[in-house]
Amino acid sequence: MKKNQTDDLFGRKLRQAEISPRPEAWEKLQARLQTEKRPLAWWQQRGPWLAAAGLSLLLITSWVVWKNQTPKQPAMAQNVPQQPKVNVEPKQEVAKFAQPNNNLAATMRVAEMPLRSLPTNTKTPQNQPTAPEIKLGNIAQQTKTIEPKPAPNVVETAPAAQPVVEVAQAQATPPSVEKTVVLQLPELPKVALGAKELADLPLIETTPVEDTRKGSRFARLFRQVKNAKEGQRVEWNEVGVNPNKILAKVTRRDNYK
Amino acid sequence: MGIVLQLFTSETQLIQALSKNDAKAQRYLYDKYAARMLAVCNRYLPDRMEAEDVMIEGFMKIYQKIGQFKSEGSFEGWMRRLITNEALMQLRTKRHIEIDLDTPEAQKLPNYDQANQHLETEDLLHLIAQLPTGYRTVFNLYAIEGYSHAEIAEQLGITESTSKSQLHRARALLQQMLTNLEGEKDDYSNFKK
Repeated sequence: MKKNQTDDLFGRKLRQAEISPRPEAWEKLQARLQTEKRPLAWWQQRGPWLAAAGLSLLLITSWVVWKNQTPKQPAMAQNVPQQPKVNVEPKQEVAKFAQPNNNLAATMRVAEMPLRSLPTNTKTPQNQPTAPEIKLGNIAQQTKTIEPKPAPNVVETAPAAQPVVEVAQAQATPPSVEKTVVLQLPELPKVALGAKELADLPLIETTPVEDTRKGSRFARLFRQVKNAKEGQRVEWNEVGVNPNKILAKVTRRDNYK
Repeated sequence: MGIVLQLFTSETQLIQALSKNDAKAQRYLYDKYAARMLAVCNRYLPDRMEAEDVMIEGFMKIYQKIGQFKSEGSFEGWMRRLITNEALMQLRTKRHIEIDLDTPEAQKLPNYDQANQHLETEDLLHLIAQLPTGYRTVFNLYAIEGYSHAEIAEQLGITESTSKSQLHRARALLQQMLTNLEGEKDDYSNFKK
């Protein structure tokens, strides 16, 4: 086979042929090896892993931050009406509704005229911080009913701004005043009884009194709404709602009616 | 060097050291196989400097891909494949492998026994270097490296029939060259007498 003879001749002679390279060849190869090793630093070899780790770390931190922020927002929303903002909002509303308050105050004063003449006014101021807390709102709205029993305490303590504010919040529209007065009539005896009992206890401090006032405000507002709707009571400690929204709902209901 | 040889008594030890980028192992491998791999490159690339550059690049590939070697075949055969692929890549990038179709058949067959005795490796390399690139590549791959026509066709991007025809014409040319070389040697020996 002539083909195989040619292939065999060249295959046998050249398969194990050797040509010595120049000494410079190893130097070139060594230089290539060094240049190849240089870029293979740790951050290049593990670059993808580092990128994945960094991305995961970023995602985890962002998730943690997001999770920490999300509960804070409702907490802030709940706290805002309770402590600082409620104090500010009624002050603003006081200025807004100064005229209707003055009218109400005038009516209250008119109703209180005979009470001031009573001699019991001198002793009551000590118990005033407790009694007005619960009563002021009701009294301000219901001047006629309260006057006979504990009204004198309320009138003299004259945190006039606070009861006025409550009235203003609950009664954005003047026609609603008449409705609320009628609706809260059944609550009066309870409040009056509590006031009497609390009047005998002079140990109540001022700071918790403010909290109870705030709670009582919401409760009264919502009771007004609930009573307007169904006539049922609602516990307001469990429900955090902006009083302005409640006010808007109340006024709308009244207007729709 | 003696210390290096003692360190790599077996091929598996050498491969393990190479996989760890051991500099001594790399040097040992180069010293042992560089001349053989340069001859492989020179069969495909007649320019010695170009063949040397390809050999260096081939050793770089061997060092980089040492982890891919599975001890199923011979280590030298695996290295030769890498070096051959590197040479073929050089041929593809720098110049096209021209396919010559009109080569005359050899009119006279050479005396292979005489050629086997008298011709040296350098002579045969010189003959192969005179072949056209297409002939030389196919002949090297088929006759010396042991590739099949299917593998050659895949490597070079040609059909199997083209590979066969290229091989046939390469053999014819080499036979003609051998016959001419025999004649020159006979003339030289007669001249000496």
